[in-house]
Amino acid sequence: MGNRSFAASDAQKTSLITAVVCMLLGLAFVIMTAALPQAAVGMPNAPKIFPFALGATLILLGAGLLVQQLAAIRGSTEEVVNEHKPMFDIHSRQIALTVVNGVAYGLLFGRLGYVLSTCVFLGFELLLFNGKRRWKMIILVSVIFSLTIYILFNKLLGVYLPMMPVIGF
Amino acid sequence: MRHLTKSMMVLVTIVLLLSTATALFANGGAETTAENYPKGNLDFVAPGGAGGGWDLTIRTTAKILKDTNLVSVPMPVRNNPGAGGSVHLASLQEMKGQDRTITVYSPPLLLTKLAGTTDLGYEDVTPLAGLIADYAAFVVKADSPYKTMADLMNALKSDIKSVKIGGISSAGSMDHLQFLIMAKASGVKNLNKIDYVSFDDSAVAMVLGGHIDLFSTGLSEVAGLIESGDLRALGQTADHRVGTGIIAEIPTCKEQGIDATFINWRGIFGPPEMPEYAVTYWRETIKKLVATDEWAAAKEMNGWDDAYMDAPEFTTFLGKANDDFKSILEEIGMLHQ
Amino acid sequence: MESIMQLMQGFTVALQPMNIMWVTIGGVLGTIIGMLPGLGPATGVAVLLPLTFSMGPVAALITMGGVYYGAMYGGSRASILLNTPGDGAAVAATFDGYPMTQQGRAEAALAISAIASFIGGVIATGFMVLVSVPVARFAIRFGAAEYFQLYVFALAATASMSKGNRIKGFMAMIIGLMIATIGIDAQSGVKRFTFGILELQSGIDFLIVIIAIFALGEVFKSFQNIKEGKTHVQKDFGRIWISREDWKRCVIPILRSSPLGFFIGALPGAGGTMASLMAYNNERQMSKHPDEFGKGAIEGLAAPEAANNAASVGAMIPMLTLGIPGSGTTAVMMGALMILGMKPGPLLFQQQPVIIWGLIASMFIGNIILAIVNIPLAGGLVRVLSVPPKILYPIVLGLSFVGAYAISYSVMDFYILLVFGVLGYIMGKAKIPTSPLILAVIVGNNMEQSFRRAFTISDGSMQIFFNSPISIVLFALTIISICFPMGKAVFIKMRERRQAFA
Repeated sequence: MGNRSFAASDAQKTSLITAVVCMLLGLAFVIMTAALPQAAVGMPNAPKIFPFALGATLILLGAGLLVQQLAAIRGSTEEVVNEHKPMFDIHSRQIALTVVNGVAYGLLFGRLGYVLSTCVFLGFELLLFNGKRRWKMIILVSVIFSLTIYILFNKLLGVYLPMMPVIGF
Repeated sequence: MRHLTKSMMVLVTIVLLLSTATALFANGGAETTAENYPKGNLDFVAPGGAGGGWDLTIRTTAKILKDTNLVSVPMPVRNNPGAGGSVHLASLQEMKGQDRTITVYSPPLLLTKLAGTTDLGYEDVTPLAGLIADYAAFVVKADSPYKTMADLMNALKSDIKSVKIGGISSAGSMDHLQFLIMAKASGVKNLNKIDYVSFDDSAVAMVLGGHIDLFSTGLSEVAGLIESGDLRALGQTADHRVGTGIIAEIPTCKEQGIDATFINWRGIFGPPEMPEYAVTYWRETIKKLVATDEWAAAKEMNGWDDAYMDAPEFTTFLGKANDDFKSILEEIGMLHQ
Repeated sequence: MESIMQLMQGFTVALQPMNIMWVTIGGVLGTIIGMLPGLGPATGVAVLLPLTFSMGPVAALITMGGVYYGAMYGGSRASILLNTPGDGAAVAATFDGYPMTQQGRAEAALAISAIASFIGGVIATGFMVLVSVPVARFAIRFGAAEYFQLYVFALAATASMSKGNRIKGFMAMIIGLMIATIGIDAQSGVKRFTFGILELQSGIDFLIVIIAIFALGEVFKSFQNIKEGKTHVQKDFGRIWISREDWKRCVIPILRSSPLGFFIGALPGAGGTMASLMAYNNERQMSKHPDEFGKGAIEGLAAPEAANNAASVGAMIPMLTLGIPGSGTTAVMMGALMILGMKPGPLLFQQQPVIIWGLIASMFIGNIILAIVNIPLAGGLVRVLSVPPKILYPIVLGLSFVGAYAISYSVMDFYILLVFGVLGYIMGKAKIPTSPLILAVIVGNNMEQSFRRAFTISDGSMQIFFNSPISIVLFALTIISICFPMGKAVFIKMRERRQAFA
């Protein structure tokens, strides 16, 4: 280990990234706050003060974390054992697919009505968890779930859920 | 993981196919004509949440239409809240020329456009009838030094910061503007310097606790506390006395020499470019509705004042109300250009 | 003791078989509604409103009351079993309730939650009989400055609550406060950070953030946990009861939290969420072993459960004595009262004593019935844990989405849900605690708005924040809650050093 300042553990690296991301987030927030219009009634800058303070504080906290972590890295004498886990593993892929599935659900929801869109959404999600081989269970669970919730909410509780087009159920 | 990505592609394709299919269906559905309207389910919408004023109005309307057999097809009510009704206003634009959707609005329909929340306004819906009204009331704590509207306005004229006015809605919306309309008519200058404080739901508690000097609100909201003597109403904004008992003793602002009125109206609207046969149907139906005993009982129960206006009259009224708001908002610099 | 006499009269009303039936029906329906994500007591009462129109006013009020506290009982079931709180008041139940489930102690968690809710409800009803009028008169002394101090106190308590890296805890809090600034600023009408999206103008509902971070976060984590075999299916279920030792740990926290919850509930606008979070923080700070909190400490579940049920009783006070809705639920109930031909306001107690005292008496009966109903019900519910995680988690996801939709009937909330679900997951990876973020989202907007309200009322003088004894006491509590944990840490270090020398 020639250069000790690079001997950071995975946790420390994550913290460094967190610090930088937070500083950027704080900076973006400050810039967006500055772009807000002035208030016509009361003090012109009143709506900006609180968000501005929040942005500034987040930048300071980010800087604080950065200093704290760098100091810890420099101060550590222990050899660092890194597991070399990839940042984006198989789970990130599944999470991304769940998000895409959720967006598709949102697009279908109003068009197909609750029951159909939920069957599609839940079916795909069950597929993601269970794999193709259990398709019978997947269809059964998604149909029963969407019908139960629809009848419970729409028919029994009177909480509106979009109906299927044409059929009007 | 590869098979998952593949199934994702399949899913996206399904989504696209289904959306096009339903879009085709929606446009190619069976035509309803003047003879058989209304046919199938109607779609009654409250543009606000459950339990609010819009919700109560549309549910009461639907219930009485059903009870009196004026309308015999199902009228399921749904809520489509958001951004002071603007969310529903936007979704109404996708129903241009359709005849199924019936909805309720009140002054925020005008205010959201004037304040720049949305580009859509009362020109983008079809007014069918004005229905009911509530009026603004300006109330103080029982031991307040202000006894009349004149006391209050004089205090504002000598020191614009001396009276703190509270309300429920946010700055630039109803509770705020209804007071400014009266202040302007009384000759108060620098309206934008008047301190208006928006409290969510707790504004009544604030005036009772003496934390604010005046509470600008709807008359029916504070009727109980006025009757019990905990609050005193300096004035209400109708052009006539309303209610019974102590409520009927509240003087109007007009009587006190302020030449202005403010009506918190609620009316029934259809989607933009609603077909002629549907407009005619609803104008006639609502005319019959407001004449029923059930409707009279509902008005009595909810403290609603009668404000029935047929579509042409109502449209003119909306134009005038819109101008009133516009001039006030312009004066305080909150008008969206 | 006129009120005791009237209470007795109320019992003769509430004990009529029909009324007992109504409170039972209301309670069971409320429990079921409360368990569904996104459907809390307010929706429950609103949904059942049309049903009550055909009843008399007494039966209608009693039924709605039953729905209200039934939903409070039910709300925490999903928190405990699945880490998916149904409404704001049930958030605090996840902190220690879910860890208990993970440790296989779900039965005890469900039992203590029902018992604590029962005791909280009964104590609060007792307070209501004795002190409702003075409490209502005291509650209206809270002005904008006092509310500001109250919110700061709540926030300060959680900032010190975060485990691990302090800086990261504060970061979470600031991000939460940022989220709370989204929407129309009520004091000026200026739209902040809405990016032209209409649905963002009324702000982001904190329930969406809660469902996203807890439920979606749990689903996202489960991908990994299932692979690594960290999830388990519970096969054996014990009796829904608690041990003598558990009971001993909970008695005092329950007794302390009930009056606290009652009072916070009686403040218009504060409500069950604040009550349960403050009770939780309070117990953690008073506890002899605060490090067990968040890892399945049973008193960490008992305290907020007692407090939120007590708060639901307290919230009735401003409604019944002053005609002011103290919470979303009581606002809906007030609407119902008006439809039934009653005028809520200070005269209600005099004009309608039979109805009001009947309602209060039915609160006692309702709580007893709910406790009886809930324990066997929990025995069935706990079997949810026997569903394999590969099926359970997709269902949790489905429930989260329908819950989000039920809050505002908008598909936009699906996307907000996804964004915050991912944020919650990333925060977990970066070891940033999520509870300060949640609390900041809940109190953030109110805190800023109260500050500015006070500032306008005082014409820009800071003195208003220290003008009343209430403000000063709350300020002192804030200072104590910040310094106490630090002081304790210093004290422990000093003692260790002394022991090392000895």
